[in-house]
Amino acid sequence: MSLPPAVGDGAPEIELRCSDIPQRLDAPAWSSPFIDIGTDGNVLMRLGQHTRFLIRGGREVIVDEGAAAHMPDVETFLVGAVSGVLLHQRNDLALHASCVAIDDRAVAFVGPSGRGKSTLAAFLAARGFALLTDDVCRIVFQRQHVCVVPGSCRLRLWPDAARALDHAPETLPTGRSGHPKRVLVLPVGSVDPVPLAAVIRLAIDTRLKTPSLSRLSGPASVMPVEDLLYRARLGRRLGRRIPLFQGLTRLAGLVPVFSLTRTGDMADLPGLVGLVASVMTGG
Amino acid sequence: MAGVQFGWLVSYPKSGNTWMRMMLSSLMSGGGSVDINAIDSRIGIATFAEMDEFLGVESCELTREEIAIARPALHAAIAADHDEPLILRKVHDRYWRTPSGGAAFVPDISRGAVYLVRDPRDIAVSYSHHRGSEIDRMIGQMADDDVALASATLRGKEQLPQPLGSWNGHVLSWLDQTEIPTLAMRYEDMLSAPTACLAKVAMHLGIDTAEAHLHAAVVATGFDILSIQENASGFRERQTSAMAAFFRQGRSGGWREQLSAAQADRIVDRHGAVMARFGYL
Repeated sequence: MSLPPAVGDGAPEIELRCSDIPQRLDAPAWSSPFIDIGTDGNVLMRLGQHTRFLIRGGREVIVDEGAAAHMPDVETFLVGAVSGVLLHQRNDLALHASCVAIDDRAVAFVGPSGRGKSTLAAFLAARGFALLTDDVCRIVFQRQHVCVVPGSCRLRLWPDAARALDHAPETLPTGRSGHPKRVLVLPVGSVDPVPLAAVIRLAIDTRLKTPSLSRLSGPASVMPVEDLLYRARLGRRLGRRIPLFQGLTRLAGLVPVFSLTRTGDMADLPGLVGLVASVMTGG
Repeated sequence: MAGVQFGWLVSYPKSGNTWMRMMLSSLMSGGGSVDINAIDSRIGIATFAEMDEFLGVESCELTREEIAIARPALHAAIAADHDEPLILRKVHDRYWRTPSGGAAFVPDISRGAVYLVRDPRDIAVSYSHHRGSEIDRMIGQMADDDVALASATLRGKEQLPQPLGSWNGHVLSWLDQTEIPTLAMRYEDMLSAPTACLAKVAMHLGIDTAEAHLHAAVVATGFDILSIQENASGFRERQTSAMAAFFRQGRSGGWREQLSAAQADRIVDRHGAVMARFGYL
């Protein structure tokens, strides 16, 4: 599995094991077809017919025995949705972002699904940037610095995005059987947290001929919070409404937030390299 | 349920749904002007991002079937999280059920639906301009019972896959179901008597309104005003492959100049029974 590297003294932060787990939690505080949240904050996640996870106390992930035959599915959700739950349980701040770094400075591309976060990160990773994490971006505050903790470098790409990155989709493995998305595993860009130089919120406006970049300020930089945080509502259901908002506003007070509006066409990718570089150099 | 309910604005594509959305948007602000590029996106079509947020899952990692199964739960979760009693949403889906039999548009949380009908011959012309596709291809799509929107590769950019089906099947799926009270509204009648039509829609969806606001909303969303805005600043919802403006003509009967006799006949052969029901034949 392409899990992020261990850091610190090597003691495990998360225990991952395989066992028989129930289909549902008894009397959950909240549930959807995919998730039960227990009154104790434990989370049962159901994805597809075979893949279930029980996530407890921010420290323990139990994968259902039946999922063992579906390891790509397990891995896909482990580095995504399951990680998101763990981070909420651990009281960490996680952006919904893919992140790259250059010269020990990181930039996070933030936005809801479908805005091209992974595609842009992979494109930059092929042009001198190092990939730090895809989709789930854990933030730590170190004195007056905001840092990105390297996460999963297992990118999930739609076939059109894979082609735009010069990969033949059919040569890449799928992350889930029967699903068109492909997996591209890139080298881990860093083992240590990297200072975050900028947050770039991605938007798409098909009216544009060329991408457009602008600096955001005030409430506009962090609203709506659902567009920046990884699974904000899930976090709130785990009792984190106030810490999440505080964490995000603290971050926005320390790191410039930009809006990058793309044309909706992959052909705009080369033009983005310069724009991202200008943000990184404070231009 | 604390009384939060959906009002579904339903149509086959290119049947006046966007115009109705703008009229209602203006009406609910007391008849004020609208910015076509700043219409509340929450009135739009259901998205992957919503499914991520409301159901706590990575919906772009789900299969089409898994997404379909979860649609009723998505609607229930949106309603449960909403502050105001009425949630307006644009819909291009036909009326459909999940494999286990649940209605995608959950009747218990639906106040009503407005179904906009338009002469399919005009739709074929308008749709072909909108998509940048040949008219014959659009006529073929309108006859296809299995077609879905935003699902060719599951890469619908942002919108969830929407089962569409053929034009006549689409109309009948909504107007022959009895679970959600549905008001049928002809696009042609909206053109000839917009204020009266908007009043009916508002009444059906339980939107309190005053006569002056109805009139102001119709004026604020007149075709010329929407068209001028599009000419000046474009329209976000226009497809990049489109060959014409989104607000292109705003009239009915244009098919007479645009379709060949054979093309018009193909449409009538396939959809004649439903066309007759709405006075198009």
